[in-house]
Amino acid sequence: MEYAIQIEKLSKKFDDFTAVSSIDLNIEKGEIFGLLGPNGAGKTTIIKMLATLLQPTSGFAAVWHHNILKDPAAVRRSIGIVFQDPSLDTELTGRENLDFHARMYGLNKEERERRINEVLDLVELKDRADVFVKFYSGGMQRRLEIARGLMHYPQVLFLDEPTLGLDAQTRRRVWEYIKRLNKADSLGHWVCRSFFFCF
Amino acid sequence: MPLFFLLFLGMGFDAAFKFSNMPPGITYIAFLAPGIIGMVLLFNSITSGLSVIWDRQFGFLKEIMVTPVSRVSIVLGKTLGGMTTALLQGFFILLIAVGIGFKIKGVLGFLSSVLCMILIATSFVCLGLIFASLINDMQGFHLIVSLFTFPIFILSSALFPLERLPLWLKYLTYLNPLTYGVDGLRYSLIGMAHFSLTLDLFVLVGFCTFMIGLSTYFFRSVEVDY
Ligand SMILES: Nc1ncnc2c1ncn2[C@@H]1O[C@H](COP(=O)(O)OP(=O)(O)O)[C@@H](O)[C@H]1O
Ligand SMILES: [Mg+2]
Repeated sequence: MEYAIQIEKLSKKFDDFTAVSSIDLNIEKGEIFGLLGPNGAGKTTIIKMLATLLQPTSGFAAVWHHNILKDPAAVRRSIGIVFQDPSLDTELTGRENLDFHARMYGLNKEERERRINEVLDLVELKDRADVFVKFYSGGMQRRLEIARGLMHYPQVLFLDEPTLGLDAQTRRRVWEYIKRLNKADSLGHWVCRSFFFCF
Repeated sequence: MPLFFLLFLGMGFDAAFKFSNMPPGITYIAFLAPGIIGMVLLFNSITSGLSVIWDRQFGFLKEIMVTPVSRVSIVLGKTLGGMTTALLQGFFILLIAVGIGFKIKGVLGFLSSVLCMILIATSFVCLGLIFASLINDMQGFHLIVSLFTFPIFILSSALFPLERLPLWLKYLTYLNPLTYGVDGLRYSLIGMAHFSLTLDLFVLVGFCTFMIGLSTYFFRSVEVDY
């Protein structure tokens, strides 16, 4: 199999309301995939099912060859995700949020320190790293979440409306970071294998 | 609040009644103190499930649930946190009780009382986690918690000895795990027990293991839909 994501007849119902209706989709490895649709189309619901946060009502999906129903732990190990809604602990500093994340993914102390500094550099938050997240602006929080989604070397990175609610300038910068992730690849550094965007 | 319980209930009842089947030399306040510790552990443990509701409301729960950390570890982590704060509260009451003349029976008794406290706290933190995994909002959580905690507390021999209860009520208390917790505490601290310490610990360990398993099961099926 050469697919990063395989979706077959995936559906999700909330009570009687069908949010996602029998989706079929294959995304190849290395592909940058964008999912477009109006508000309420079900994009976030699809991402949450792929990320094992929601149980599909019916159908099947595999992420990086791992069945989302049978082997959710392996799926979780393969992905990074930038949620549509806030998901930071605002009572911690930026660095502490990243450190918590790295610990949850089992990175050792050395690796944690190195990775935290790398991703902080990438999103240009190094000088604000030791400030509580509750004092971050919306754009800074977003950049921190992108940094966090990347730090454990995910095979597939999900970004759910990563530029939502950002001003034009910050939006442009977020796109620059994401482009830079691609450039890093040509320099021989590690890069995320697949992207799954939502807008 | 629990302090008021201990002081006023203890002194009030002590003066008003002499429980006929109290062993000689045991005051009501000595009888009550382990019960109040049980109560404090129960209330503090179960409400520690609130941390999950908070995480959910601030969106941080998604970040936790999407990591590959096993669900047992998440439950155990939450349990250790909740248990520690509940335990500190329990010790605080014990300290106050000692301050007003409560005598602990030996070092061994103290150690086995700590064991009982850990088991009680862990079990009920897990119950709180189960509620938190089923309920999304703060109000609903408080409602369910108060619905459960009061009967568990009242039917636990925390306030009165089991001996003279009507039979049906007695059997009801036998179904309540906290009864064994309070009984174990009481035996450890003042040497008075309805069951034996062995039975108490046996039931507590069993209940605790069951609750950890059950809350892990519930955590596995938690959906984070916002
Ligand atoms: N937990 C839920 N309960 C009920 N309905 C929901 C729930 N989550 C999402 N929905 C509904 O499902 C539809 C799709 O939502 P969503 O996936 O968030 O759309 P999108 O991300 O494309 O804007 C919406 O109509 C939304 O109201
Ligand atoms: Mg959405």
